[in-house]
Amino acid sequence: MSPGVRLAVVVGGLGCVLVAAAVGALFVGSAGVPPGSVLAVLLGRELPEPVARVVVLDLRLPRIAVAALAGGALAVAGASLQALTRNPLAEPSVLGVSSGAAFGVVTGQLFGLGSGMLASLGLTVFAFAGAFVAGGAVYLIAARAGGLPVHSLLLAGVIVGIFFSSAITVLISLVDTNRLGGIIQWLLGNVVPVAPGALAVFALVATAGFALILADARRLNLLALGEDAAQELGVNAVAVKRRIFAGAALLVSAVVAFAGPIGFVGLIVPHAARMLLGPDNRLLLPAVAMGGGIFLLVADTLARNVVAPAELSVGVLTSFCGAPFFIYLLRTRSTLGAP
Amino acid sequence: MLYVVWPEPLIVPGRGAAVTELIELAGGASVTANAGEGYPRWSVESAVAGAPEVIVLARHGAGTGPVSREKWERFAGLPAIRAGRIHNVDGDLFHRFGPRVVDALEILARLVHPEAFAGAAVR
Repeated sequence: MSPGVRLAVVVGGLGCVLVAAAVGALFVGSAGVPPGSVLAVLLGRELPEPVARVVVLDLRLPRIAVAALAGGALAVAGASLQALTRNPLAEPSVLGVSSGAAFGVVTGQLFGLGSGMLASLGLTVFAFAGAFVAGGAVYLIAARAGGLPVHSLLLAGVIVGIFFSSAITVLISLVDTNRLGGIIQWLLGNVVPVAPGALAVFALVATAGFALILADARRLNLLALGEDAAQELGVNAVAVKRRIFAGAALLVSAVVAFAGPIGFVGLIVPHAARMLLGPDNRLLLPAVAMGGGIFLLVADTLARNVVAPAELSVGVLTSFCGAPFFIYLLRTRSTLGAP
Repeated sequence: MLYVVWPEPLIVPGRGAAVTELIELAGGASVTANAGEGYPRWSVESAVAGAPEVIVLARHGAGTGPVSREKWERFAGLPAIRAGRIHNVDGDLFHRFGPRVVDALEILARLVHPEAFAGAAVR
């Protein structure tokens, strides 16, 4: 199969699974709307019951969209950072970017930014500023004359991440108790139905980040040969690193601003995809964008339903499902697919 | 009626909660009356499923402003939002069970049956 056909088959197939999962998720939820009513709402028919419309269109649909977008964004950020650092452990949270974005959002929330369209745009700016400062700090700490050694990049990422986590703890201990619950709830990682305007902002930022990373897919493949080899083949390694960092920071800050820090998606989905599809980033990046969306959508649908009529945080669920899956992979495959 | 004790995470008065009893005394029906024991955490979807005709948002503590209505006003299809019957109340009257709880009862009665107070003095 030629690479182009393979890409079309994989992305098309995963796209179908994503759409099927999304449609399925529209039909389940704690409100117990009968399937017939869901169908009627989707077909635009008027119903005597106004509630079915609110539940399906105002609650479930935007939430499904956020879950699919956030999952895809996290998986692409994870896959690109793993390829960039040539380290299977790299992930937005490991490189400090998530903590920086989370610190930005908590700061924004203390300034009273909420969930409206403008406010969510503001929160995204705060998140990106946080992610950018954290990423920049990691970059500056790790950068030496003539390169960006991977081990110091990871070490700097862990240290900067711890620093920003502590900064969040400081803010939490200062904040007034009335707002504490909301902030902690957000820190657990929750997919919430956002307003259409804010959803558009989210989609736009995520697409920009994805495009930035995908444009470098071929150069990321060459970087796998090692920096010197890539340089000899005409890749400006430092410029690629900067662009990938910026793209991953965009993706992660959008997710953190709209759904909170959700872990494990950026680690598990890329590894699973790499085992199934191989390490070619031109195929891998679009595939994990779809796969991440499917994973988080399924996880969030579970989070909505397992303890209904209450709800779980999806961040808890991704870690609960993610950790055992990861251990299984570690035990059954002798070597994790090298990124 | 949907009574929101705490917006994020959503906490509502359930079975056996004093606020549930107050709503019934005021002649209303709480959509969360059969929710869990006491004051359970609840999903927005389950809360909306009861098609509340009135939504009451409680605020906490003298220094805090009213709870944001934005989140609920997005659900334009709900009877309460279409009729403009979404209200902020002072949680101190509703959640501290002293003599002032009678004032809470009157507020609830006015929200549930505004027509019955048409001739009464405005407070």
